[in-house]
Amino acid sequence: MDTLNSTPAQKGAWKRLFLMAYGPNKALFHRLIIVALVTAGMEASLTLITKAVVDDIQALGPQINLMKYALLYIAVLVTVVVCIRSFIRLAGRLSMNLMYDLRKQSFEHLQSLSFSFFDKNAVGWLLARVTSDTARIARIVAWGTLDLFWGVPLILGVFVVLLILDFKLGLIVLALSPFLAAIAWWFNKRILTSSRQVRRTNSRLTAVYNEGIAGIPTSKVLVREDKNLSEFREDSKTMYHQSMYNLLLSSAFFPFVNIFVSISTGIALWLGGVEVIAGALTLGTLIAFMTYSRTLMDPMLEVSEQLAELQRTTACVERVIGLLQVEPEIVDSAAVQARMQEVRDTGAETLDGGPGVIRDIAFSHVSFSYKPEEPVLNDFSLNVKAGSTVALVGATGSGKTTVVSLLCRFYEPTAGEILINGESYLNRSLSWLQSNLGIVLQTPFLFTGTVASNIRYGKLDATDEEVIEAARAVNVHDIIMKMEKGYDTEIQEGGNNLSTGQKQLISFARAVIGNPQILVMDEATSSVDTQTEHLLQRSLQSVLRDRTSFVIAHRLSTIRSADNIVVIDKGALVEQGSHSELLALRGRYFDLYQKQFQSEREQELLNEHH
Amino acid sequence: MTKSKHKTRVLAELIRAEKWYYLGSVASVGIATFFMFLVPAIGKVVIDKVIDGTPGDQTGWVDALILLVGGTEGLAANLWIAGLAIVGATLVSGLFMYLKDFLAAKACETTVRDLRNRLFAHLHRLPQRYLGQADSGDILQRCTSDIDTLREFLTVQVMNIGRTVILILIFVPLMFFESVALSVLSLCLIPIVFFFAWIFFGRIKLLFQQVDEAEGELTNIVQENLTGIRVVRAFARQQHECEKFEEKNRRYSDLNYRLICMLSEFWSLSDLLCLTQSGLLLIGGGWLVANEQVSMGTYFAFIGYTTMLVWPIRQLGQELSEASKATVSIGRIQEILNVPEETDEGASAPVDTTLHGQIRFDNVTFGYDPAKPVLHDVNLQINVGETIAIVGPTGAGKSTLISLLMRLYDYETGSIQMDGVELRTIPRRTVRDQIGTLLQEPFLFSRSLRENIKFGRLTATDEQMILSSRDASVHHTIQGFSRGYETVIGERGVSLSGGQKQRVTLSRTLLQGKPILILDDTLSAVDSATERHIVQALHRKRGDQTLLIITHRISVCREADRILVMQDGRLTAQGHHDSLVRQAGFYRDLWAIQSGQDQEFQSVLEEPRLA
Repeated sequence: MDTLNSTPAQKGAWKRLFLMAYGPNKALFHRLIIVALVTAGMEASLTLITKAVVDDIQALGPQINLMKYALLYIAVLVTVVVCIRSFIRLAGRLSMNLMYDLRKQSFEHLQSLSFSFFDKNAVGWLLARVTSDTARIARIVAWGTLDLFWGVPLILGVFVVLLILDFKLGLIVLALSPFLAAIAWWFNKRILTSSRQVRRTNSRLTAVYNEGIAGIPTSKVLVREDKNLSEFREDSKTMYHQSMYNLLLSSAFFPFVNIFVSISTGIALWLGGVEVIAGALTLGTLIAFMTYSRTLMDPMLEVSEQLAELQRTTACVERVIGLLQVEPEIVDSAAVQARMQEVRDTGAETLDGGPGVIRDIAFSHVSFSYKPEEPVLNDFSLNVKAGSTVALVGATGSGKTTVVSLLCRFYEPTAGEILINGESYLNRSLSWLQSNLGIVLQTPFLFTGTVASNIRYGKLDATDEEVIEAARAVNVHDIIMKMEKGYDTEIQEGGNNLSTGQKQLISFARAVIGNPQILVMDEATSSVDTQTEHLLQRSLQSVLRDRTSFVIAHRLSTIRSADNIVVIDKGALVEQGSHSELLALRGRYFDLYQKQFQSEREQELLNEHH
Repeated sequence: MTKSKHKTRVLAELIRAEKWYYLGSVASVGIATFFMFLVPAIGKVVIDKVIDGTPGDQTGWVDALILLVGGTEGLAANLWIAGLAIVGATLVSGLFMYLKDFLAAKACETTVRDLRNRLFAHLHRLPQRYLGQADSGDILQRCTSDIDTLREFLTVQVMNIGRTVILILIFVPLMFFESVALSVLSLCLIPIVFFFAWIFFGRIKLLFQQVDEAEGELTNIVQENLTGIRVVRAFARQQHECEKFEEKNRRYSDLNYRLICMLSEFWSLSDLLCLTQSGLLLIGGGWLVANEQVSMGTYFAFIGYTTMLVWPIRQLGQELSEASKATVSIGRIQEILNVPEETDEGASAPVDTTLHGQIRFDNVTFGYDPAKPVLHDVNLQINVGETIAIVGPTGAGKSTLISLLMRLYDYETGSIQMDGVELRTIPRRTVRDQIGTLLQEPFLFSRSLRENIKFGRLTATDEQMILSSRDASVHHTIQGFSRGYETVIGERGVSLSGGQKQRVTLSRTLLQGKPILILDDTLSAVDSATERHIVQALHRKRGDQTLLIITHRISVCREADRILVMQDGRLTAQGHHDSLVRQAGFYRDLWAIQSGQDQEFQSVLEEPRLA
């Protein structure tokens, strides 16, 4: 299935991820591990120096050679500092490499997936996979590796040292540490769960605020403010309780751990003290014991936190790996790919060796459905001559958009064929077909960037002259020149600084700059001011002239000027012909036409003062 | 604009309200810190008096305690008491630490919760004049992410800063009291560590910001690509998109790595400082002990004190320099709270005034921007129980008329009276309470249909709800849904068509049963037969209800007692349908188009027909 939202756990996701991560970063991993081990060793030995100093003071008094220890301390200190610097850099490099690769791969993979995939998966959901999941995975892999290879050896090293120093006392401290690990694990899991809950409640609060702000006028006229507020109070109270719980959990954690540490310090002082008095243990060793029981705390907390986090990240890994495993539904067939290989260096006219000029297009008994039980298009047949304009008309949901989506091969027919020059278009390459299409969508989507770069999107290597020429062809040149910075005007996110009409005109220019053989257009339904409307109509005429065009038409002037009007109803072609032919039929088209005529006249009247 | 003087006003006020909690947590942290200090001190006493058998350094109260457990010998025989004392001191310290966290969390979270509630309430009381032109995304951000920043500031930064400051205040004097020389050896580098952290994080702020921005750009590229994926495909620009993404991905990852490298310098250098401090104490202190300047126990205790002090102080520098972020957020929140709320100044009429629905406009001129009036000199009179249709081209001022009636905006010139009372003198809520309105854009909340319909009258029974839904011609539609009135709408539920939404909002308003009902082009997405049906039902049942309908449909106008034609902010004609169609003008033109009497339309019908 295409939908990722409900994928069951991907088996071996971690393993796949590990192979992906380890392969290109072997050297980094190895160096990180070595540095982590050295750091652990050095940290463990710092306490041993203290022990030696104390013992020497006891034994030698003022004759002690402190210089020796000072030099030793400096050597360890410098090593530790160098290690810290390099493991931060190594883990940083590793996590950045991983994040970069995961993001690159998932983004590029998304580009290859089919329309049907994007129909089923929301933008926000996919965005979170590419951005936050990848970041989390990279973090845990890099820093988790570091903590594991620093923490576990440090813990083990301290145990070994303790057992060597004093076996019996060592065993007691050792026996207490599983409790410490258990407490850390117990708390970490709960803290993570609770933090997650807080985040969820927080986004719910954001949603409530969002709706609240949008609904203020409604609440005012319904005089609902007080009730709204008391409902909001409930939500903010929930947030309050959850954050309190989260904070208290975190604050209980440290004292708990501390008490356990103090138990082993206390026992060391008691039993060790007794031994020191009896002369069986040096004071240095006693101090080392008391210090070590505290040294153990850090690595234990870190390791247990990383383990808890690792468990949480599993879901992220499954989702990202799952995303990378989705197969695109629409791809070039093996035969087409082989042919493309063959003709690659022969200087053939097209990428796939087929003819370059599109003479005629035919839909032959085409059926299509998004879901098997709901057919959208039924036995649809249509012949289109080169250079003619086809207007598709019909009610919303009748299947007009499906016809052009199939033509663009965003979807493929479930039955029947679409023929180009008499040959099934499945025998041609996708990139050849799509590079010969110019498409104008109903809601013009522009990218952030300049006006010029948006027009150039239709032909990346277009010169400035070509951009201006395309703008002139669709009558938007004058409008652009009137903008503050002309072609260099920055378009804001979503094109909010342009009017709908301007956006439509620019998307026209974008579609024609590549001089496509086929133009596909979903005419905008949103009304624009009269002057822009006029410009749109004029540019439409010049764009459609002598070009094979498919227009999902809403405006009468567009419909009237088409060579062939196709009336679609419930996925079937019900009437086709020229405007006067169809009008004379007094059929479905005649009704549609009357309604549209009245509504356009009414719009004119209602807007006449603007 | 407000100056920084007011910046922390609301916050200060909210904090003052919780002052006992805040003070209590300060006291607790003091006690906890003191007991924390005792742990190494106990070790010190044991090492000196019991194990080492020397008199040790100054004593006083410690000796008294030791006497209590049977003197030095007694303690030596029962060393478990010392061990237990360490656990006990840690336990008490932990308990007070927890108490401090509890009090502080309660204080901070209450402050944040109250601020959230206050903001939410404040937003609902802002005048429409402000809300209409404000950027709602910006408001949302102030109510959410700025609050989050503030919460983080209170619960993490203030708490940590406070704890560290108290730690210093308690530890440093006690340490100096024990041994000046050892104190100097264990504290001399700490100010450097603090200033190093403070300056470093102050300087690196810009890089942090750049990394944030680079991440934002990366997210935007992905979001834009996914939103416009159909355009990308339409132009087969996958390759181009990958290159764009590549650039941002590279940039973010490089910048972030640069940041990590900077941080690696900080952590390693500050670790160098901290460990050097420990080394100074180890070697210098060792010399002092060996030369019997200080006791072994004191030496041991200082090793513990340094560890407890040095790391939090490094943290303190970072937290102080990051705290400045919060002041920006507080300022932004305060700005919203400073916008004056709608007032009922000059409202002399009693709050419980009952209106009957007689409306009168005298020479009302109004503009959202006073320089550009939308209504010019409007005069009109509507009687109790009348059904009035208002027609006119877009921008004629019809909706403005309604906004004034609802007191969403206040008129300045002319006079509007309701039941003979000047509208301005009636409290806003009283006015709104008596007028049922449907705004042009139907707005439903993401809840069940039942909740949405009962939104304006929570006490309504299901029978009443069904009745109003029937009148709004939406009852059957709702019953057609598998979950009926329980159907949840919005993002997570069913999405309704425009016409369905309009009828649900109508049912919601009808349920309120107000003396005045206003439909502002509310049924545009409902087909005209249904709309006529609805209006007929309303008209029939109107009783004393005054009904105002803004519409484009002649079929609806026909049902009205009177039709008002508005053009360019003026009332240009009024009368009954039959009289208006006899006068040349907007109304007749509209009627001609809709009834197929339009000349152009006629000529279309004359076009060729096949034999």
